[in-house]
Amino acid sequence: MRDVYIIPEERHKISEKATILVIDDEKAMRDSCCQVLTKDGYRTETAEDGNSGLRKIREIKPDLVLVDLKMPGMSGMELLEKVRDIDPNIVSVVITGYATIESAVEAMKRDAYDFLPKPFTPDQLRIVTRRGLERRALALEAAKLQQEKQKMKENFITLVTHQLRSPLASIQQYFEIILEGFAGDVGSRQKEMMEDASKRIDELLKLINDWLNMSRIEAGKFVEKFESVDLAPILSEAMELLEQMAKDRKVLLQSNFREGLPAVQGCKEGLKQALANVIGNAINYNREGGTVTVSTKEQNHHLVVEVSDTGIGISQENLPFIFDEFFRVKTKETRDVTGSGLGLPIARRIIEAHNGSINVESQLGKGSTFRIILPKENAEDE
Amino acid sequence: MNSKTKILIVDDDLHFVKSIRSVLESREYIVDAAHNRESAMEKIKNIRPDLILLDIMMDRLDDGFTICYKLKHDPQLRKIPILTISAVTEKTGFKFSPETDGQYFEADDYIEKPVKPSDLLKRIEKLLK
Repeated sequence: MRDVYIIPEERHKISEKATILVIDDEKAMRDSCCQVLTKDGYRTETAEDGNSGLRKIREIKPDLVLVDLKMPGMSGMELLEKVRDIDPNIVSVVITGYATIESAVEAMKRDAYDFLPKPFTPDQLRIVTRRGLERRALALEAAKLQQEKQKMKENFITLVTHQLRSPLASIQQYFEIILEGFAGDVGSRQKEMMEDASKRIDELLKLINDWLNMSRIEAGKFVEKFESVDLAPILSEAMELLEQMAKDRKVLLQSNFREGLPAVQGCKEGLKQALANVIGNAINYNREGGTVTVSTKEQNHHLVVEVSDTGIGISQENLPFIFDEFFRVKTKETRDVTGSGLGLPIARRIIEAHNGSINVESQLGKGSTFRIILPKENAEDE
Repeated sequence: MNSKTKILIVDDDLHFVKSIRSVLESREYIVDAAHNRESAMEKIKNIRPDLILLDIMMDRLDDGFTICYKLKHDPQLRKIPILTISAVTEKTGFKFSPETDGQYFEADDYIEKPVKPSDLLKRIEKLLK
């Protein structure tokens, strides 16, 4: 019945190109498998233990691996797990001389696709291999469809934001021209109102931008740009961006971190945006004459950035929602604060895309401390 | 003083064209406009503008780049200064400028939308010198 899924031509293509890796400590086993499979037109590779098997998997990206369960060194079970981590679409078939129900179940739990008890005939090997490769073709097809769907979603968002922005940009352009006097004289009251209107449009444009950013993070765009990042200059840049805003709101922005922090893996632009959002939030929800302090510390394998403010604080009932999309605290004190309600959610998504986390402690009327926790670059190797 | 200087605006946003046209006409430039790649190329050949204001994303997202490339590789048209006006950076986050990407993007100057009229006029005057 499996044959229904694949047209013969397609299957022919797979068998022509497919690479099969045989991992077994017995030379006779490796040789006989390869002999059968090579004759059928597959490309074959071999490895005599788990470690060299893994190396080859990373190098040659096989379509299917035949794994012996009992090998010296890394066990077949362990190997299965690692194969799944490298590429879940690589099909693993277990071969073993000690076929028990338990070992079969254990192997299946680790995503092995099929089971081949020793001794087996060339025909049994052929059937299992072919079935495994058909399964891989299906999995790859599904992954491709998923990708296409994702792409359509992204294109849709880009299209919609473009449609929203264009008319706003036009309005903005008209305002510029009128305000500069190219369409005749403008009275001072008219000018004031138009300047206000223009500001409101700026806010709307920013909201659309935030929305677009949000969808970009959803699409996992940041991870593609990961590199080794020194956070100190990024913090400084983020703070520079906000200096004017701090001045306008009469908030003192101070830093308390040193150069040469341990590196983290990440996307510079993304991290800068996340940090700027959190610091900007601390400035926005502050009071005249208040301060915002940005500091860093190391905690085992993590780097922690602390943003403390002497602002209005967040009440216990609002605290759980502070990172939710479009949530905004509505009180007397926040009435004059404009924002999209997306600053902190965007920051959280970016930080989480970096395998980090963000949390907040707050006292109403006293201020809040946001903590951004990022794993150090070399933490995994230690 | 500009009454013999012809400027062609190439942009698919009719509102943008209308607003910029009023700015240019206030300085007595002769203004014409094209709203897509094909009509832009035709008008450039026929009216031989002294300067082109060029949008980048039109029907196709790279129309502006294409027009710019064609002009700068045409021995007769390459001398016409091109001032690109676009919201590409704001829309896509993709940053570029003739200074850093001159090899691929040979426009003579580049500004972002929305445009400050006084800034636009200053840049136009500089390019026409």
